[in-house]
Amino acid sequence: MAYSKPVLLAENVKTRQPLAVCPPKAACIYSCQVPSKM
Amino acid sequence: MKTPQFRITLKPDSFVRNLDGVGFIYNISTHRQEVFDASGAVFLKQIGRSYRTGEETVDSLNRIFVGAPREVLLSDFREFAAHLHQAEFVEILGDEDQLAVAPPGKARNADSIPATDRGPAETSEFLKEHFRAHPTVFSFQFYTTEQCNEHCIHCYVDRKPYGRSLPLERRLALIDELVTLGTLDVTFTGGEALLCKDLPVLMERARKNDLVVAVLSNLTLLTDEFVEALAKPNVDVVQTSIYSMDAEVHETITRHPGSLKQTRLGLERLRSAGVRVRISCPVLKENRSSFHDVFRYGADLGVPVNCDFAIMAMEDGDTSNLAHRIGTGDLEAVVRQVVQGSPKYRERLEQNRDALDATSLDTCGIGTYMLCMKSNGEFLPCPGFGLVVGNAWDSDIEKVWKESPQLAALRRFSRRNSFPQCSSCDANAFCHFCLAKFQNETGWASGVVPSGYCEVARINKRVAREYLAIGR
Repeated sequence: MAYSKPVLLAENVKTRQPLAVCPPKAACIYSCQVPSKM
Repeated sequence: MKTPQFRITLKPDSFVRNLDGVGFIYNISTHRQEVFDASGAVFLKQIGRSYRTGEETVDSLNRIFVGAPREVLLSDFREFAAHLHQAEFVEILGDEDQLAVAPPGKARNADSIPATDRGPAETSEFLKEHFRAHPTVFSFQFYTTEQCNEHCIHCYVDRKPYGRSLPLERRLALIDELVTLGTLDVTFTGGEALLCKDLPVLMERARKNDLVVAVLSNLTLLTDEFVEALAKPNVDVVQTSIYSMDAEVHETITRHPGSLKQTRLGLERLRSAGVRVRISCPVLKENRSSFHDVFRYGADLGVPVNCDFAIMAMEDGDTSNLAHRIGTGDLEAVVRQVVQGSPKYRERLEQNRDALDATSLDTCGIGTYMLCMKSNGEFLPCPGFGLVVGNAWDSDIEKVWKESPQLAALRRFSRRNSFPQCSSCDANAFCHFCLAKFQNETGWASGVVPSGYCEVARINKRVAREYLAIGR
């Protein structure tokens, strides 16, 4: 495999949203209340 | 150059996945996530659950990146390790001076790991795009049973028996299969998950396979054995529903006398055991006057509380449970109470005050990164989505994921084409566009938004603008 220095493609330092664990019972919760881009 | 004397391992609550050429790392305690390119994926793969020296790691890298100078690999891996340590993904023992490792929590040197020219993307946006191109069963939801000791008036789960439950051996084999598919997390739900006597065995198999686990339960049946199983470091969250702090109201909904006290005891016991817990509080006609006390209870305990205003019709298409859904006339007052009660919601509104008019025609991860299975082996696109897309009695997960015509159709779904009315809606960014909910009311491909959803979005937006004092 050709080598190149690792590159960071994405991070969530700002938002730190948990991953959706389902959508859980009783909803994708905050996504129903706030702009979905949040 | 010095010989690397440091040793490195993943923290017990950090998880690494290789996702079709990109490397993903996630810490379930901090919720921090990062995605790296192909070289980063190889670097991440070197970091395991037991300590390994930098020397051993660079030997491995040298065998993969044939021809790359050893001193370059060594230097780059040291930087990579130091970055992951600063981001609190890994533990490092050894020569900290050599690694220039800052104490955990200190800001990292932004130049240490190169990012793309535009800077790193937001993880959730990146992964959504990635999974559209490379569908992956990243999240798997598992109905351990459809039976429940509560009988909630609004529940969407179809409890009618449809064939035998999968035997334990088959369930364990499916959890093993997830490892080969790149799955990150398994959610055990129900019915009441704790009614499944095999749950601790299933959770242990998930832990051995390095899967993140979430459990949805009413916690009324919590035993020492379950507390022990839930206190493992791979358990991300346990979610339970509390509808009101007034037992009469809560139990009018659960139809289970004594359930509020039992659920509270269970929740507080898990909290004391250091388990991350979360409260779900669907708002119905029955609890609209007292649900906001649940926010106070959560705040006192330090437990997040989430609300939902639009309950889901049943998986079999029976919509009689929607009689309990709050009417649009009550909705505005309810949304105001949520804004008052939820610091998290207020914070997110403040952070996104410029995005209230954004147009988003996104859909969720149905068909691209999530899959659900009922206790009888029937696969659904997600929990509550009343559409069977395969069966584990005669198919592995991978076969269903790759060959199900229903999942293929869901992957082709375009909101812009199927729901053109959404493109011009100015409350679009507040829309909870949920194909599972639509499926059970009007059919996911019908192009018809069931009654009430658009109103929820408009009211949400109006209250958000009012809170942010926009347009005054």
